Amino acid sequence: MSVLGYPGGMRQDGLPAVLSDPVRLAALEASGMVGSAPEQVFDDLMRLAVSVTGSAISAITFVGETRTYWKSVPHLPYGGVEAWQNAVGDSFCYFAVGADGPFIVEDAENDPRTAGHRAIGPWGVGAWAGFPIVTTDGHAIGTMCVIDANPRPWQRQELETLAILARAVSNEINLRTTLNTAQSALATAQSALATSRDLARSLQDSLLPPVLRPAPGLDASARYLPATGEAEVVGDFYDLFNARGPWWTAVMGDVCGKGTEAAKVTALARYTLRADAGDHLSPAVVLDRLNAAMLAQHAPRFLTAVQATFRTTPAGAAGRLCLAGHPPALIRRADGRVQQAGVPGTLLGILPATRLTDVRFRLGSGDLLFLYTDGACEARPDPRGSLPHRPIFDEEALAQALADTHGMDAAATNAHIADVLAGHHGGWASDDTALLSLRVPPHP
Amino acid sequence: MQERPLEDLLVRITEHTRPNACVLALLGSTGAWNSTALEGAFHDARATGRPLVVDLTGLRFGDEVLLGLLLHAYASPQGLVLLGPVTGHFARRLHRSCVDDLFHTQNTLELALAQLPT
Repeated sequence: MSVLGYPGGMRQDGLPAVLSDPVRLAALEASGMVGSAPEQVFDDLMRLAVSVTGSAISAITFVGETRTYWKSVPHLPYGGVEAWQNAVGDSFCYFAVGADGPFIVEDAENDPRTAGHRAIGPWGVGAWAGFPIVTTDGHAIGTMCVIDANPRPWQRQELETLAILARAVSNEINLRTTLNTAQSALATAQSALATSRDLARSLQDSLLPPVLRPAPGLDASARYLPATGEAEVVGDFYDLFNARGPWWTAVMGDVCGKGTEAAKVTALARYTLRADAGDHLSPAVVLDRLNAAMLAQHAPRFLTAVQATFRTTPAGAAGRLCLAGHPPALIRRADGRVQQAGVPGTLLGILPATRLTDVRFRLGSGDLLFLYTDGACEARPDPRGSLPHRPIFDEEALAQALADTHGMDAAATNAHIADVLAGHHGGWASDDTALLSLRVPPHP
Repeated sequence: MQERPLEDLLVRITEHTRPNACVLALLGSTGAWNSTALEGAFHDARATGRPLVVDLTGLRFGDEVLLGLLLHAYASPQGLVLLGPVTGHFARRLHRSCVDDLFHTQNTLELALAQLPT
């Protein structure tokens, strides 16, 4: 075939070098056509090609490095994957692939490009017209061809129709490739989402104490209520730990935002608070030091927090608490009255100078200190849902719900609040919520 | 002027040339369901390069994400003025965060525009 020059050069065996191009072979593999069985859609197009040109044979083939795979040869019964292929040099199909364009032969025996070719006898090739099947990236991966047993001229209109049919075959294959790619990307994304959910759950669990360490003489319980449908790590956290000697610290925080950045700030806050609470019994000082740490670390999120540092007394518990951009703590007295505790203080991680104030509190027999994040005082139904509009479940509604828990222990109190919130938002929580109750058991 | 109807929130972005300003009006409520679009609106407003006025007079509810966006805008060199009055839950959020004094707030658009850096 020395009379032929291929745009991509020639291999040592005289076949086009492009047949061995790894990028083209990858495109061929991605098409999913190699070794696939015949399909009606392609057979119909090939019957149309025969009908238009009056040829004896039509075929769609895919040309690999060493083998040619037959996809559609309607005049032959399907013989299985092993039978429907031949050596790449045993047909004319590689010509169109190598030329990256139509390859038209009117008299195969006498055309200098094909005279003596070993495909002529077995296929009874008198005339041949083939067009490449081209991917969206421009790689010729196969051929659509018609064969006549006798030499013949090809009419211009016939060739134009064959070119259109070849484009239709290419489009069908490219659509499938695109669909396969999209499905594969979707499967990858779904797998990544599942992994992300598992990671988020593990990370969230690691940022919350698995069980609260019991403070001597107090009944303590915490509850975390995740937002509906959240896959990402969220920033609510709580902790209860021994600060120093008889002093204990309870903290509730809420980092703005979600995801790994929020998780980093949550971890920074939790461990900074633990480290500093032993050195400073003033919650305002500890929270101010956390603010400085966040600014020094260029924390990407702000946070709000309430911290209470207290010790148990013969009468119950006493200590100080401080709010930093956080909703006020609530104290449910033994007689059912609910009081707010704390004064507004600067949120953390934004401003170098804070205004943080410690407020003293005392818990007597049967009293309960209730800390929470804003999910408990901003609950509302999903505005996209079918529930009728309801006002926001605000701080006043929360205080009333807490008053309704009169006489309940810490765990039952949290459970009741969780039920009331779910009843208000109808089971669709827009934000995550953390609840922490500390109760002085009633003296007998 | 651009209007973007989001879930439970309408965002209106208006560019002014005299004085140079971008007014971002929020009508409705912010929440988890529209926070990504809200962040996009603030990003687009910043991309105009104009000083920013955020009109909160039609805000029913503002969440922590909105507060974070306002704090970010406050820290930007372009400048930020709020158009109020800011009422209800968001006023409470600003108060309890001790950042209500941080923002310049005006009660008319004319005053808000007049307070922007030139």
